[in-house]
Amino acid sequence: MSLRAGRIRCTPALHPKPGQYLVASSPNRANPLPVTLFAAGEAGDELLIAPSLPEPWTVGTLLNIRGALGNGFRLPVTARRVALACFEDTPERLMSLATLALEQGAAVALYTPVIPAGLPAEVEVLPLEQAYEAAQWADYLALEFALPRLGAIRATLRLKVYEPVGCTAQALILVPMPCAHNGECGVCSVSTRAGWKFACVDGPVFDFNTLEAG
Amino acid sequence: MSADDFDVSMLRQELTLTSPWMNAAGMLGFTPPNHWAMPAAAGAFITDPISLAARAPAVSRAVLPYPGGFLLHSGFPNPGLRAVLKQYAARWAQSELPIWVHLMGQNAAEIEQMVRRLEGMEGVMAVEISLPPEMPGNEALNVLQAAYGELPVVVNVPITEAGQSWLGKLAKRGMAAISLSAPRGTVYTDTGRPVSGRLFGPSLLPLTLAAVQSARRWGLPLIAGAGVYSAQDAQQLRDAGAWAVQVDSLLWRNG
Repeated sequence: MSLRAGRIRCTPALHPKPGQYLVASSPNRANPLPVTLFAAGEAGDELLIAPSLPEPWTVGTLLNIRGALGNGFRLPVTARRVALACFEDTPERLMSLATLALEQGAAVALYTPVIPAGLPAEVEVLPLEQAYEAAQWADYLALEFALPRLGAIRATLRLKVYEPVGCTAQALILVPMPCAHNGECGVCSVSTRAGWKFACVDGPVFDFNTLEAG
Repeated sequence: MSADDFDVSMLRQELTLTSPWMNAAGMLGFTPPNHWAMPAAAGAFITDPISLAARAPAVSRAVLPYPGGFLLHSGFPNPGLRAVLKQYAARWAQSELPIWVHLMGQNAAEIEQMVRRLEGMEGVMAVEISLPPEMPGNEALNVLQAAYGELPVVVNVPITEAGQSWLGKLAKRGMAAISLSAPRGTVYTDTGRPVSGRLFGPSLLPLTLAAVQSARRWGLPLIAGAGVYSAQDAQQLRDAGAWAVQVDSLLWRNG
């Protein structure tokens, strides 16, 4: 099933901060699972949604929405060189963080395989293969990836075993969160140095240096 | 007296409910939430499955949608009974809803240890017990016999096992009810890897109705819980002979 970007009109109280998420479902019982939504930005009272909308949802579909949920990115107010690295198919889930960084006067570099539509001109785009430079240049690094790729990402960043990233680094972990902490179902479990955590409530943004392969 | 002669049906612990609606184990965590997205008021709260020792998540945990439903494979991670009691027992004691504690045991000794620990705990009104997949009937009966005691015992089986003949011996052994829950199945991932787990979704309702009709012969109250997505679904199950219904993934969708 292909997933699309889109816009959702909802009360501003539901608007998630960068890295936080919403869960949405349609009244159609043919879709028994709720859908996790990440915002790419805001346009007036509408929320720009990163590609995650299922095909059956069309213009005018009324959704039941819950949020904002989870712990998002914590961009230090002192950060002046912000690097974003997307190891997935689209960096749009990081775009609201890019906007926030620009608003506080930081220089922003985006390491990505794809250039998203509407990317602010102030953002420097770099190939993902150069992401290892980010840890030297940035004073804050935000990454986005699915947990099974952790080893490959550490290799891309040219980190030795147990070597931490040299700056503040946070990671948005992309993992199914079907119960959104309603059931503590454990499907979104993430292994960290502090033990197992649930991405739905403890994340989905984690300190990159605490993540373990699990 | 042999195990087969063991007849405590006259001493069966009775379950009481103020409403036939409840959640299925694994859907709402370990303590009743403030808000339930259910078509009617709940009559009991069922905890997530709890094992004697802590269980880590499955390595290959996954959620795999398919037409009409989805497969969930989690490995039932939980912190173990001792940790659960430490964190939640006080809240169970204050709960307005009866708490039914769902236990997973690998053998009779584990189940007996867990059930005895729960007896007399304020707020705990029943235990629901699920057994490892593929456990032979005789072994299952031994495990369940170990659970018999002060608390009513609800025996949880997948809807696909509603016709298993060993369920016919439960009434004599003092079990209070049978709950019929999500069946197991296998779905392939996009990369061609088969994953087995529990199935959820509205497409299961016809199977649950058939399971209720099949299990009525076992002479115990039936709690039906797979494929319930509306009040109408629940009414159909009640009409088919279910005493109560459990709601599963609808609780996640409507949150």
